[in-house]
Amino acid sequence: MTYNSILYIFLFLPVVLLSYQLVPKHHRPKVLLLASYVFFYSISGKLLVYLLFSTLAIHYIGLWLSYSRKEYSDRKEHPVNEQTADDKKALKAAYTRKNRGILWFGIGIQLSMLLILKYSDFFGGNINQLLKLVSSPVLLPAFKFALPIGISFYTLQAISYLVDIYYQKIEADDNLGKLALYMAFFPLLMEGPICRYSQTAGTLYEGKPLEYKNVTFGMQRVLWGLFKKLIIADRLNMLVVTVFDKPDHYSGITIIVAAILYTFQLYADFSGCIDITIGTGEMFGVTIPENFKQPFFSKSASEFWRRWHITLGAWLKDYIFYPISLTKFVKNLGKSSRAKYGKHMGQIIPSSIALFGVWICNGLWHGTGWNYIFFGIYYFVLILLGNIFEPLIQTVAESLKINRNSGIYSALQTVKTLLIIFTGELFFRADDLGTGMRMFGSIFTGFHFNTLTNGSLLKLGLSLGDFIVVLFSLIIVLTVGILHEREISIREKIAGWNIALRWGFLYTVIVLVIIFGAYGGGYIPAKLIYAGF
Amino acid sequence: MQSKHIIKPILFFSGLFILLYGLSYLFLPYNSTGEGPYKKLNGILSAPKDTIDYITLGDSECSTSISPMELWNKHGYAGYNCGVPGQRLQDTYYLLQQILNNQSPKVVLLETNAFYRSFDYSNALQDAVDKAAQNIFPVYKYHNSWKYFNLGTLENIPKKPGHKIPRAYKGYQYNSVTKPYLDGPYVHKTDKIEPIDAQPLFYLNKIVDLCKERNIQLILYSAPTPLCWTYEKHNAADSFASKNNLTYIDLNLHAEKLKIDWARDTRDKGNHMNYYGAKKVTDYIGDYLSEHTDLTDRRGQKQYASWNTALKKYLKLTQVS
Amino acid sequence: MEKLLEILKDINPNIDYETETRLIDGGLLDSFSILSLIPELEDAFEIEITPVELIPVNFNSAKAIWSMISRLQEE
Repeated sequence: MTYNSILYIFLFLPVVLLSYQLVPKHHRPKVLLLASYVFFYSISGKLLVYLLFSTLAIHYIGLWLSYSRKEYSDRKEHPVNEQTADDKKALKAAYTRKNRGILWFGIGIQLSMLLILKYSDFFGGNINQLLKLVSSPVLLPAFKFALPIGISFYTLQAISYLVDIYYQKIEADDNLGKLALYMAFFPLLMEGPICRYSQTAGTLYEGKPLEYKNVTFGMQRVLWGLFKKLIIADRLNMLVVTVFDKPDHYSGITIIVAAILYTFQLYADFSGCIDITIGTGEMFGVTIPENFKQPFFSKSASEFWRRWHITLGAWLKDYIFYPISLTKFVKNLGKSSRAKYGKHMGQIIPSSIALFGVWICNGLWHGTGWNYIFFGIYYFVLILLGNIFEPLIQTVAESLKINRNSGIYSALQTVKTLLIIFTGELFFRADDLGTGMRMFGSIFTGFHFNTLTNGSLLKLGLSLGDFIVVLFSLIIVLTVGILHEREISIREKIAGWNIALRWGFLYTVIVLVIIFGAYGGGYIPAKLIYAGF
Repeated sequence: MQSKHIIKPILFFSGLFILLYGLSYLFLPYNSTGEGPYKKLNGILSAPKDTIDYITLGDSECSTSISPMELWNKHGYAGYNCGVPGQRLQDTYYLLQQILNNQSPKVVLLETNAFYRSFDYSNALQDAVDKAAQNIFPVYKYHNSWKYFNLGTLENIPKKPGHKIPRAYKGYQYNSVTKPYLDGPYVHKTDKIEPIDAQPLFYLNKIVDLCKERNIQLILYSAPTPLCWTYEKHNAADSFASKNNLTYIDLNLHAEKLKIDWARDTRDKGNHMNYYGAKKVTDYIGDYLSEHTDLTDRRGQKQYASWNTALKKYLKLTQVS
Repeated sequence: MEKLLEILKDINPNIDYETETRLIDGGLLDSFSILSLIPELEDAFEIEITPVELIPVNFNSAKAIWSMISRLQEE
């Protein structure tokens, strides 16, 4: 079952909504939890045990952490003997060590499950390559595990739960059901977004009754997600698959078109799925954090990552970037480089270490290929260069009297950022790093303008009609994006229309999705892309 | 909850229902030989008792590869193609049971592609829901025909035959489109076996038992299909056949004898046969049946007069303009 | 407080820290400046700033930073 199936929209979801509404309030979270496990089981079957194990592990380790903390404050507040300042310090240090140990134990469990299930194949394969190089007679046995759905997402949620307890942002919850629901809530299972315990657990467990406005607004959001996924993403998939499956058959403009359209496919696919997720949450009165904020309007690579897959970026910032930045080593490095190289480099040098950690994790999180690691390092280098040269650009702009806030300047920056994004996604989608490099190179070696006019673009799996449908749909997405940039709520606007106009509009969108959706004969059913990460 | 919060959604969805129903009419294909398994079964289920001598079973590889009218024309065998696209073996088994209530065929030809259509509850439910949606709202199934939309389509609406499939096809799924398969030879000999899953195997055995019980000669065959067929699958079917003393005809290995021209005989780049390919497969199967079975030539028999009328219609329908 | 203002001036001398209340939300200080500020604060006030303190509310004005420092000193 996936979110864009008739089964989910017309059977699973209505049944869950109805049962949720009909049972007494205190049973509602149980309905959601049961539905979530059914959903999980329908995709991953018995691998459900991994999720259950993760949930139990963080439940008990969280309680352990909080118990240890309470023990510390008891001993601090009610000392058995008279305590000197040094005693207090020693006590604090001892407990800090202990809590840190518990935290690392908990993170270790979660991470090792992810590493073993998701990465053993990759690391084993690469180690074997090395062993072969030195002609070692012994090779590692090849392992490939079946991955439970959403493990990359729920593992990050599990780690954030533990770390947040460690930093006292939240209290460990002795309510196992609430934690289980936080880990398994069905709309989040396939593609996130990655939530924090403080964001969703409370409302999820509240069992609020359905509200008319929430349900209708949620349905509209789901419809918008289907529009993007079915009309745009699955249609573009045809062309993307054609080109990326036989990368050596194509070059020049064809590769450029494929890279651009893949970027749009990925956006429509991922953000469309997130729309369905957030819309589903909304129906139950749960606010799920946004994951996209018009990413293609970004003016720099780092801004792009604050607008694209927001919850992953935020997670990496809070749980990788800050902790690395605040280690003794990095802080001391900052101080010494500041003394040696001045203020600017004093900021750049320590933060580049933390940034490197972030981008390696970002690349690896997506998967286990060198192209993903390249993808991470690509953004690391671009963002680092941006930081290093920022003062220089500032000085040059000032001396040339260029207004960096002017419309033309920001338009140019947006174009530059789009080029960076398209190039990055080319490598991201390519089968492996070598293929990505070859494809990138062939843009220049095989560049002919007549590709645009000789009809070869129409031989890539999309007819002229398909292109027209994509073009119009992208214009609609762009328009919606501009309205959102101006902070106009389209659904509130629609709610203000009279009933004939409103229903007419909704009927039109539904009919458009049904007729122009790229499903059925002639199209390849396309899986949700991020569910594979 | 206020009552308007109940009435309004009901009205909204009723409106949507009517709208989609109306649209469906617009999107129904003018000349459909489409799938519609239920409609299709009407043909054999309403045939007079014990008049059908052979049937073919399987998924779309079956329904597109054998044309009963060609067999009638050449050999006078009265039979029916009961292949249903996407059909899994348990459904095939129940279909066979249902047919045997009223008919006593001497020969059953079972296409092997469905041996690998495993049953998974979630997928089965998903398929069932999808099928139901397609049946209620044909627009869901035929929506892609917006690509061929023009004003002429609107004029044709009154002439539309609905989902009626011409009975003259006798269950064969006619299609004369050609999309060539160009990737060259696909038969690579190996000893490896791709095992048949427990679930389809269970129903496969039940089909074998049912045929034994009713004294039916069961013949396994594989239609030529570079996209679906592998040597590993061939080996599995072959060993199953020899274990159960069945004949197994793998047409993929006889492609040269059949004179399959992959540039012309497939409708979708090597997945299914089109009309031209089906004719070759049918001829081959016909020769086999006449040599190895005791099916009777019914052409002269009064009871079968309607088959000759059907043949005339069939020849007209398949005439390539 | 004097000491704090001095440190802040050193990070970026062009900001009027006594009145500005949107240092983070207004984009005047980015996360890199904040991270270079932290070791300075830790040394000057003998405190330890953990990642949990890195939220905009704590850094939006000199006053907010000061109250965070006082709180951490008491712990």
